[in-house]
Amino acid sequence: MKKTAKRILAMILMLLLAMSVMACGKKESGDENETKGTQKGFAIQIDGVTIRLGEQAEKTLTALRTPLSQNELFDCGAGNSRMLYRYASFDLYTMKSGETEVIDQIEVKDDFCETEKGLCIGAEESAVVAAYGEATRKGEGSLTYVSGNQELTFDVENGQVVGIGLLRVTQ
Amino acid sequence: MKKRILIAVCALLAMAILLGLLQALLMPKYRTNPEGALIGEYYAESGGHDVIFVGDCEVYESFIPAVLWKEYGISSYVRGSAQQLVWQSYYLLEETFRYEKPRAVVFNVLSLKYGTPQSEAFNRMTLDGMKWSTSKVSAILASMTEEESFVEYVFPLLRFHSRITSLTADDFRYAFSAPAVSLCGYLMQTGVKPMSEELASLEGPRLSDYTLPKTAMDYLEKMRVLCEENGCELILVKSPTNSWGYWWYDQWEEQIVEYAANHGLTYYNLIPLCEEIGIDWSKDTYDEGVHLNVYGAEKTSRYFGKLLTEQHGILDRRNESALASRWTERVTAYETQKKIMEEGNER
Amino acid sequence: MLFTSYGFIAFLALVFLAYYLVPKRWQWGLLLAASYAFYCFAGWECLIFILVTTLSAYGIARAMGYAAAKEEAYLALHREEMEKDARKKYRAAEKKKRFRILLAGLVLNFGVLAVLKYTGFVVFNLNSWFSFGENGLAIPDLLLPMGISFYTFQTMGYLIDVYRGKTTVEKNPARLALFVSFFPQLVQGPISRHSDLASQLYTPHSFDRRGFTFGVQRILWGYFKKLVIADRVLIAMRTLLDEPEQYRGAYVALLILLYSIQIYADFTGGIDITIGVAEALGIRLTENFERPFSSRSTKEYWRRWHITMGTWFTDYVFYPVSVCKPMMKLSKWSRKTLGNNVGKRVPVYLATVLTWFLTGLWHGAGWNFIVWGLLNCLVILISQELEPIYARFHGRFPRLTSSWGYGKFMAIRTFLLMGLIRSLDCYRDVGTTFRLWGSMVTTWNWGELGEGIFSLGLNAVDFLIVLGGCGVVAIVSSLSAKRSVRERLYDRPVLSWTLCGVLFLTILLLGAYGIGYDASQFIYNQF
Repeated sequence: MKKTAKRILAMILMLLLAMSVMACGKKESGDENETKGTQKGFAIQIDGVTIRLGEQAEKTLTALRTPLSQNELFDCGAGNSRMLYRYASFDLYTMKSGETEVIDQIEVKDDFCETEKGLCIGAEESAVVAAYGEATRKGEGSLTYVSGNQELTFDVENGQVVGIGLLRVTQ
Repeated sequence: MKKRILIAVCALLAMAILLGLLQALLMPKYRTNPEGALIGEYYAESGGHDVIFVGDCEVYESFIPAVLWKEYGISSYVRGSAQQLVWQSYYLLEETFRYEKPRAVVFNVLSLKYGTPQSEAFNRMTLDGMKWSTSKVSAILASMTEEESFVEYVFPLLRFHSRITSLTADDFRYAFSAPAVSLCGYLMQTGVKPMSEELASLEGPRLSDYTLPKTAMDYLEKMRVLCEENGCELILVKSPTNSWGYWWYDQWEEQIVEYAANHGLTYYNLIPLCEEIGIDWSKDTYDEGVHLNVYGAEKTSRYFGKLLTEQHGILDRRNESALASRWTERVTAYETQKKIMEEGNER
Repeated sequence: MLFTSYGFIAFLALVFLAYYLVPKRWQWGLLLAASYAFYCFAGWECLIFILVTTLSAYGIARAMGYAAAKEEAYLALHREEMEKDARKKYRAAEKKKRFRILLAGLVLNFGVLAVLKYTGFVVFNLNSWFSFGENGLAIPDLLLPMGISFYTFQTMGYLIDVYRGKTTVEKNPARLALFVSFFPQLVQGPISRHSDLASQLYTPHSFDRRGFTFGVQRILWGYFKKLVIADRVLIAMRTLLDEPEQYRGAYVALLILLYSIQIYADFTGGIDITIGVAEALGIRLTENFERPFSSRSTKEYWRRWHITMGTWFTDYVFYPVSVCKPMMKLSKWSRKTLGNNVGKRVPVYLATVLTWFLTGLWHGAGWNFIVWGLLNCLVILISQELEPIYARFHGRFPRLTSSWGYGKFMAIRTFLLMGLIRSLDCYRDVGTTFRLWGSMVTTWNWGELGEGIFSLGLNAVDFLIVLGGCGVVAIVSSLSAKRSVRERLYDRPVLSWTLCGVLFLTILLLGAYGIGYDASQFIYNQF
């Protein structure tokens, strides 16, 4: 009977192990993005203010100076608005839904703004690669880096950065 | 036992009738948001059209069938709706061909930017108005967002039941029938809200990917084949509006130009032709350049009507008495409505 | 498949139709197929777990049955030659063997449940208490199969009953599979006993108009509670719980009230649907609630709320623990050491604490659930200790204590106390819960509740609907105390059809379902 008990116990332990392995949830297939040239969240910095996508806009807008202009486009189907705040050095897009307004996209216009790694318009392409590694996507005149649902794109002409754009990719 | 069965049958019958009445009551009547009523209004006017316009809001705000008839004798109808997706345009067209065989179909290409279902609200505004057919079933299945359920289209009461606590007088008044909100599918706007110079200077924001979705292009191809099979010319058009929120990108333009060239289709991008059309963004828009008002739409219709007549051989049918009589009523209705709305604006 | 999904309603209609059309001997087979189909909707990968439980229970029960039969055969054969003591010794030894077999089954199945449900909780706490490197131990992302808590407890109850000789061994594995997976009760109970349910499951059933009508009416009643009341209240609750620190003081009291309504309507509504489905199939399941909010004490409350869970823990944890050998030894020692008065309480109280600890843990892998269980235990034990004082009070003021008002006072007191403890389930964090309880006294914002109540996602009409719904439920509950409302209506078909029609329309028009409302799962779906 002792042998039987041992066998039963062994069987139970094996089954438990098998069950735990089987129970492991599937991992998200976002790992494809975790390849070359991806970073953990991007940011644009200007005048000591760090702007990140997906953050509440109120804090950032308060920290920044009054925009040159602001425009609203209401999408009645989605039930939200797209806001465009124009500053001298950049354009800031937000998504507004009810009381919530989050930062959605930033378009850098001059070298007063820099990325979280200190790159700005006018930087050398090699400096971009040195800071961010190999681009996730290389287009004609652009280097794009992906982190989760964020994309940081450097427009490049003659080996120099002429534009920087940071946006959220929605489905 | 027989008594019980009789009671049961009567009860079920009474319930069925009551549910039918409730559904009629609870369906949105789209009086204050008339965009949802457009699709359903086609069936009363179907037949005898040489040109059918399909597409999103740009289509029903830019092309006026009454003007096309008045100026060129072109009999047309606008089967547009708010945020009409390309597969919805395809299935609407498929359905339209069961009612009539137009000479040309004009499709506004902006909706090609969407490759996936977008919004339940806009789906409803397009699909609820369609009569039940295989086209409607296919359109629903292609359009449903994740939160939607097919059974809620079959029994809209399940979707709109929550309106029971917010019914208005219109719901009772128009439960079984309602006057048309559109004029052959054109939704009139006489307000003026100019597009500022600042807004005019804005361009659309950067995109992650400028490739038009494969699903959308596949449906465009299906539309082309469908038109071919029905002996009808497919004409692609981009309406003259180009505000920053609904920007028409050069990269998209290139893809459409290439597609049109490869398939022998005519494509008119009216954006660079605004000056030629005569559009004045300080007077011809009711929402700062997102859509045209009636004044901008009249100019666009006149311009486009000329193209349809001269380039595509659409005939002047003003000499057909039966058709002319029908259109006289429509043109009168158009002018009357325009006058009423203008007077309303002045007040 | 949620009970409130269109798919489930279509599934149910098909099952009902097929059940009464197929040859009667196929009915239980059809139910088995339907139950597994229902289970597969949750994900086919979950099937392996319910199969393991079923097959292991089948094997263990058969082994115990075989051992018991062997024992009887041996004794019958050697009755003449064996003395009484020898027979006693032999029985004891055989019982021990059967216990080891039972233990294997319990360890396996409870082990699987423990691993899947509590590994994350254990690892999380280990990381909090000890240092395991920079990132700590990785918390595995384990699948939690639908209904695992319910079907495991039900099946283990079957094994224990077989061991105790209270039910017969099921020789047909497919039949046992049906007992384990019977779809109406898979997701949220009630936890049935094999001796009660099995025969009903396998017996052929002819269509019974009365039973079917009662079943459908009960299903409608469940949907009414769930969709019109529970899901509507949930909207306001979500607002209060999204940012709990923002809703202090009076809002905490409001949440307690709303949660009491929501959990009652949601849980009993789900059970009504479950029991209604079974009733329509000719199967009577055990009632799980009996007007719990009319309870006058916590003890009574737990005899009326989630009855089958309470009796399961009483029969399979409390009693065995309180009479087991180690507890008997402890009882002896404590009477000797602490005196008879205190000593006799020790085993009972220990068993009670353990039972409530496990009850809390069963509800969820979190400290808030454990504290919830222990608080219930504390209240029950304190009530027990204060019983002499209550008895003296009742003796001194018999007219007062037997009055209607005093009864209502006790019911309201119990309702509020249970609601307070239950809020641990809402806030999920023990510290936050205690802090917010304190804010009911320290933050005096009752004045702003008048307007604030309408900023939680529900308007005046919604609250009227909730109030009206609660009123209807209270009236029906009160009428049902004497005689079932369905039975009262059965012989009045016109009235019956009218009321059912009104109920159906109410659900259809006022139910908080569809786009714009979150399709919330039943509270116990995670089980």
